[in-house]
Amino acid sequence: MTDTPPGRVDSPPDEAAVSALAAASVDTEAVPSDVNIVFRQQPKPVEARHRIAYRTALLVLVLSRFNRGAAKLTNLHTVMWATRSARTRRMFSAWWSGRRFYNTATDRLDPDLQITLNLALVDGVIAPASKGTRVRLTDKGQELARLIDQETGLLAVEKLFLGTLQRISDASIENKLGEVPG
Amino acid sequence: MKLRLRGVRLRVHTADGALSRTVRFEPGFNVIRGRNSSGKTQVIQAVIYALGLERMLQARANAPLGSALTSEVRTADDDEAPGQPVDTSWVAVELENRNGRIITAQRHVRHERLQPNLVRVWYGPALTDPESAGVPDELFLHLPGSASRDLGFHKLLSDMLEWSLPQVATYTGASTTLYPDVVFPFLIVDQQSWGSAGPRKVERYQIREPVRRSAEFLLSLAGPVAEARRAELDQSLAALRTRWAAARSAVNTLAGTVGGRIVGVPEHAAGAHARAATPAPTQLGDAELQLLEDGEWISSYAVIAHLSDQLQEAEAAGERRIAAGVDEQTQRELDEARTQLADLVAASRLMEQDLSMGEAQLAALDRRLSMLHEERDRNADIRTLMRLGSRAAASHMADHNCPTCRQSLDAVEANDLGPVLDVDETVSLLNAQIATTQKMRDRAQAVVGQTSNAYAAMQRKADQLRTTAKALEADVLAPADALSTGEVARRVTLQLRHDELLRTRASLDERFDELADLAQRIATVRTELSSLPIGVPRTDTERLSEVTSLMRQRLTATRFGSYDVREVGLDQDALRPSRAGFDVDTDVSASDVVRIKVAYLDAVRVTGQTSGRHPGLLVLDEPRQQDIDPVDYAAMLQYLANSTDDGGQIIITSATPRGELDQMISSASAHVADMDEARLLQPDSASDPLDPD
Repeated sequence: MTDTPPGRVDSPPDEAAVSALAAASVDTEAVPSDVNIVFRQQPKPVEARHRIAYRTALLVLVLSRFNRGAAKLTNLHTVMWATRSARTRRMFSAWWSGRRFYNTATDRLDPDLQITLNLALVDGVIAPASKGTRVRLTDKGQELARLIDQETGLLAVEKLFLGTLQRISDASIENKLGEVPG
Repeated sequence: MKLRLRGVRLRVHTADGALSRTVRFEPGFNVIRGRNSSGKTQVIQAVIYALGLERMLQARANAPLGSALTSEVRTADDDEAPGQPVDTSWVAVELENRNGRIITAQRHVRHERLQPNLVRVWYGPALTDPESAGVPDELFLHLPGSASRDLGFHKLLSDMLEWSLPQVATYTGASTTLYPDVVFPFLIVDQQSWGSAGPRKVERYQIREPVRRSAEFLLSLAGPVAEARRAELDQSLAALRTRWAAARSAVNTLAGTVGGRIVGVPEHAAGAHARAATPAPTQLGDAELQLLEDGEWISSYAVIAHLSDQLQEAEAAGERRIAAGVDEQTQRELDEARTQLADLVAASRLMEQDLSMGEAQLAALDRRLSMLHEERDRNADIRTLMRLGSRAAASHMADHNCPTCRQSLDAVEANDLGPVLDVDETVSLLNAQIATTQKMRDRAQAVVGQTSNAYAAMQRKADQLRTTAKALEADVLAPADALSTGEVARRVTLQLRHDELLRTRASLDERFDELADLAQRIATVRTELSSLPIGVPRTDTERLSEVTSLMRQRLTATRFGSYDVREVGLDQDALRPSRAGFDVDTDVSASDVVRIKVAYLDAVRVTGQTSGRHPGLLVLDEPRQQDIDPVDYAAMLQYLANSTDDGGQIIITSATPRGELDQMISSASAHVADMDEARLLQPDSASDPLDPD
């Protein structure tokens, strides 16, 4: 998106603007009234957790830690959210261990999960299960999970965190956090 | 010539009697001639064994000698006659170095009492002049210290050669001595090693590139020495830097205990990092302890002087008694102490807020750093994930396209961000952010440290004022003419502070001396590091060019035929013969491998003897290998004989018939030890001056 003022969308080429400005510096009386100044945005970094490759890998990793590689969407939202940062990991660990009470699920959603699921579904990494209320890893997904596990340094923080939550399943999440609305 | 073999003797005792053979060598070119299977190789192997060098042939220290010395020997010329079991056997070699020092070393192959790792040494020509043989010394071999202890035989051998064996790197990263058996393949070529153009590679000591290290040693190349010295200096500089940091931290802690700070001790000493080539040592003349007085950092000398003055004044004033009625002086002092305390408490509250803010900022920066590190690691993971996606056929991870419409997923990732950086650019940006945040954190840490020091000093001062005020309050209520407790408390406080500061300053002075010493050493090490040559020194290049040139001359003389002689050179990394990009062992004909090997070893001998540590000795066990053309073999003998004209000793074995051999050597001077058609070991008298008792 370019940050141009309304009515100036059809910008002339840069060269024209530059030569107009150059002329203006020589003869200040002759400043043309129609010089267009174009502002361009600097490219910005995308957070790694928005990158598709990272998201798909994380989805596969999380699902592989669930019992039978399958999970309810709401539980996936919660665990994917929990992996976000050191703070969310600490919060989730506190709920999981019972040190803090888990009261609401309204802000524990991972907004990018839907698109990640769609891409993984079309690519055949995951498949719907239990009449569409859950998703499960396909053989291809299991293979990807195995490859990710083999690379020891890869997603090390996420693996360590998921490793501390032993035996994740829909039932254990409901047990520890209470029934998540969904 | 730095070392020559004067002779070798082999001796066997059987129930039927003794057999022996002595072969004498002269300076220059020597040929041991005899028919096939006559035992020429045994003579060379006897030299190797007597010098304790058999580990250059194989990893285990087994005697490399034939059955005539180890198990049974035929005493008659009749090939059909049964052999006699060997009772005892030994070999001895006589050596002379360039100073005329002669030793004879004897080692038993078979003996009931004398173990193979024992070498009997006569410090004289016991072999060529048996009458002079006295009582030998007993030295040890193949045990730890054999190359370094006075009773180690390889220490004696190194001394004879005037070698100071260098330390070289091993595969495990440690360093070890370049043992003589690693270097000797440049001096002695056994019959099994003609398959390779380079000398034998002795790998038993786990030395990295043993051939290269040996060549560098024999040719006295300066580059590797500088490189080794550089590594050594880098290591000692790292250790000095650590000691500097520890000593600096200790003085800061010491200052903290009296509520002070240290100035004039920089974080890094001059020369700790490669900014200046010849740095002047960091001067610590300005290093001192400062103390916070009335909100200002003052030199501890001034504070101590002031405390001394106050103590002297109090001493001069003598005891103070409470005046009758309202003691105005006490009241005034009490008011003053209370006012000071109130000011100090207010100031320290502000300072406390500063400190809390500083600590909060530090914690925030720590969190920020941790997040940036995690984000960078995740971005680094993405590259790997794309590769894994392609292996697991998760196509959208690998090609970054939508699996349904094949459109790029860039827009999905960017959402409404606008133009975005790719993963590599993101990692670079994160690295830059990490560097900046780290600097901010370091700065915040320094500010927190200083504030914390100042806060501690204020607390200490406030405590003193509270004590004084309490004592003065007691004085106000005390009866007339009573001893002023306020004055006593003030004196005690002053004295304690005075003594505490003196003690701390004495400890600090010791530490400053240590820091000054470290600064001096750091600057010295840096100056030496900067003076080391960078790259290959000119003398090294010249020496290696000389070796190459001599090797090519010798190859031309022996009609090297695999390709143009100019293509044969020295591999600059391995320092062995090579043709750019090819292994000469497999790239040339078998006879050319022999030509290269002899030419290379002789070229190293000539160059190393003149300007290196090569002892000038070369022993070749039957260089007429692989049906080398007689004309070329003759040329080889010619150049070997001629190359000893300016010193050195070359010994070869040959099965070439005597007449043909004489023709080949023709005008060159050679000493031929002809064993005729006889067996190597011949019956001899039952006793020998070198036989053990």
